[in-house]
Amino acid sequence: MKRITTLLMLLSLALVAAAAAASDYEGTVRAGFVATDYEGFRGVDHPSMNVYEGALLSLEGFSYRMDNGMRVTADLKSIAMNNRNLTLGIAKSGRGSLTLSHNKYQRIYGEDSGTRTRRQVTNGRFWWQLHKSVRVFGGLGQTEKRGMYVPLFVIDTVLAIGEVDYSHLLYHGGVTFRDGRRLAQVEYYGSDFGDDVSSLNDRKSSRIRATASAPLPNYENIVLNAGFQHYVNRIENRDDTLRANTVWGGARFFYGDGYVLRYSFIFDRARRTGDLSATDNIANALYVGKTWKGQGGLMLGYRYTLQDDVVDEITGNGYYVSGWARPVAKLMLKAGYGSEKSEVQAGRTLTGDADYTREWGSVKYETPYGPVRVKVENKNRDNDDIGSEVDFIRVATDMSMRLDRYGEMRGSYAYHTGEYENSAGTFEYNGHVLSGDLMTESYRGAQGGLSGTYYRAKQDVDVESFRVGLTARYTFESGLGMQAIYTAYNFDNLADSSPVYTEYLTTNVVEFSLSYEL
Amino acid sequence: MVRHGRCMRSPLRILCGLLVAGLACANVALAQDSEIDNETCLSCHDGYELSLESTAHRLTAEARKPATAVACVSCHGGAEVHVDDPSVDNIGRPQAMTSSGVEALCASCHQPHTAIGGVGSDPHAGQDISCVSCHTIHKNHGGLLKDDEGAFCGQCHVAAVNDFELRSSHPMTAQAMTCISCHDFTGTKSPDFGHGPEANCIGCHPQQSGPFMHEHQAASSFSPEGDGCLSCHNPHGSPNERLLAQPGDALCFQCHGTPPAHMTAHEGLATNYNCMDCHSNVHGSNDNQALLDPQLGTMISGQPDGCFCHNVGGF
Repeated sequence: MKRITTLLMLLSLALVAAAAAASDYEGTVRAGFVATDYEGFRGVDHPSMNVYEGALLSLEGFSYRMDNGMRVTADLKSIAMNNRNLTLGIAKSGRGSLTLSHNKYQRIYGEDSGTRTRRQVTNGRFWWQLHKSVRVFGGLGQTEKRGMYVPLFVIDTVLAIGEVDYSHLLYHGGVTFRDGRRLAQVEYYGSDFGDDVSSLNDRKSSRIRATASAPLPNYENIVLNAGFQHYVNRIENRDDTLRANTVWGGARFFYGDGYVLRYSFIFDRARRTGDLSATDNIANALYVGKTWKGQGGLMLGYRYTLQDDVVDEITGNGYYVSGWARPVAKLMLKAGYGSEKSEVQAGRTLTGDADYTREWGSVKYETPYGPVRVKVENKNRDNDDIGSEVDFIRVATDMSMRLDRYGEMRGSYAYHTGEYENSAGTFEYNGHVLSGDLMTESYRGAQGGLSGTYYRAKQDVDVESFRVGLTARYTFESGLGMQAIYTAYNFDNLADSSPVYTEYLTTNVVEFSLSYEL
Repeated sequence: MVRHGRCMRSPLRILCGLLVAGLACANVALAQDSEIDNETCLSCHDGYELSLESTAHRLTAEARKPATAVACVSCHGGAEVHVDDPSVDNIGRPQAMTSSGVEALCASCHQPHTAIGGVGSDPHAGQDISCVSCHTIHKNHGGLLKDDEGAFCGQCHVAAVNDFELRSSHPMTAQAMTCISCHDFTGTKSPDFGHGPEANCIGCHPQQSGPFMHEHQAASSFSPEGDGCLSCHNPHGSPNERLLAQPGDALCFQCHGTPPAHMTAHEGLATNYNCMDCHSNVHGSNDNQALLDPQLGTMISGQPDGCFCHNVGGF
């Protein structure tokens, strides 16, 4: 691991040195230190789980353009730390591109970071324009996760520990043929999953897909698309294979000024050798829309679905309507309604028939300083046969404001409530999320910032958490700058019932860094 | 019921027909038929060429055919009138067009995301959302998106952004992922009917994915009874641990009742333990059909086969 860190540091230095010798570049080099202080149980607070103490080194927003049009970009955050988030790319527009990325994230389960899982995601992607009409692309990626975790429910009152240790290799490649509005694409995706805890989970999958899209001859306003996919997921040690063949297609028809008609279908058959089961999935969807330029729009839709296996057959009928209106230039109204009824036509399923509905509406108003938005949403699911029902309501508002001489600020508030009813009882909760941030304009090189988030959940849960951040920044005319950020995290489960630990955490983080704008 | 063979023939025929029809279509010139060249535009709009220089829309494109070169007038129509009367009202601006108009304009060169892999509903359709709602042409961000982190999604999805501040959530605030990590519009992750909408989830959580020898049908959208991961988890955030929609046994009771024997066996098993104390392999099991913990016997009686009633380890 130290070798990778050293390599990254050398790479950063090379990029900065190369940039210094060129004329067309930009970016910021940042070096500093992060100090942390914890009190409580770290495994309860998500936002602070990925904070580390130690030396900080970053190369942010780096871009270096060569005379031949090639561009090197890098955004290497926290190079020396375990929460590193790195992206590196080289591209020449219209010719090709290569992008590499690496991200690390940890999830803590214990009182300290001793019981944790750590995930590493590394990806590389490229595309190359072989010919004006032919592009090849591909990629290789690996996800690794290792560590110890605590199951959510354990049979005893002591912390049980589980182990996770796997590697997931993903690779893909393909070719795109394009000629004007006509496109055809063939691609292959493969994956290899290896579980070092239980080899019974090892598997390999592959997916071959072909797609095509083109306007109808002599009717340029009718665009057709179609595709086919063959998917295989094989469990190596059990000789168990899931295979699926999928065909889809559709058409979009633009008519006159603002009319649009869309139709799409999908047919999928998935079969499993292990238990000889097979499932058909069929869907047909039709949408009709009309837009009145700058004033409003309306969309009506219908969707029919069918799921059919050896035992059960389930059909679904869904209806959708949505629209928007702009009665005056600064005011935008949007609303929508969707309803879907799922019915068991043959066989008998555990959950029976289901009704889904969703209504929502939003208002956006542009003030001279920035937009103000309000959104209301209601979702409902009803399984009459088993006496199960879910109601969910969410209201959110936000505003952002920019004053040229003073700075900018953003604030939002969300209220949500959920009610779950079933044969055994009711679970209800409501929650409030209040968040905002403010950053002043630079005054003689000095800037200040304040940010915060407060969360409170009540009824059958009783949780309170907040995060407060303060930023002070000073930039010299030479491009050299210094920055100090203080962040406090707090989490408290007021209905804590764990016999093993207290669900409480307070974290203080101070980050000090020097920066230089290239 | 499943019908093998015949059902696949019709869609395949349609597909082949569409492919042949598509490849027989006529080509379309990219640049609009206009006498106004880039130099004329840049004489007033000086510097705009720099914003395009590192993008596929660069005005210095080394196009092999003039008809496929990108010019200012490729996107901004009506330049002839605008040259004589330089008003913002008489030049074509995608921001001022209808969403379908923008889509039609961009589709002159690009395939809309919905054309490549989209099936069924397009949630952005009918909302005055077009290509330029998420893409900014005169910027150099990756994919010409408005910003690198996908923060522009939050400009409309206000409530969803706040979900990431709940008790448990995906690590958006830690910048370990973005909206685009899951909501992929390029068609590379969908459609995945039959083997799961959760195909999105297993990219990062492959250990929870099957096929298992014994599936939990709710967790597998391979089964008609299952909605996949979303049967139990709220992916953005939840007031409960591990993104669960409900805490404890309530989650199980949304589909299952309590088996009568559980009320009497083991001195009232159901009242003394949570469902998942024993049925811990909720995502699926390679050991037993009841999704029981394979170590259950050891935990209860100290013997691996001590929990013989449940046939743990066998099946």
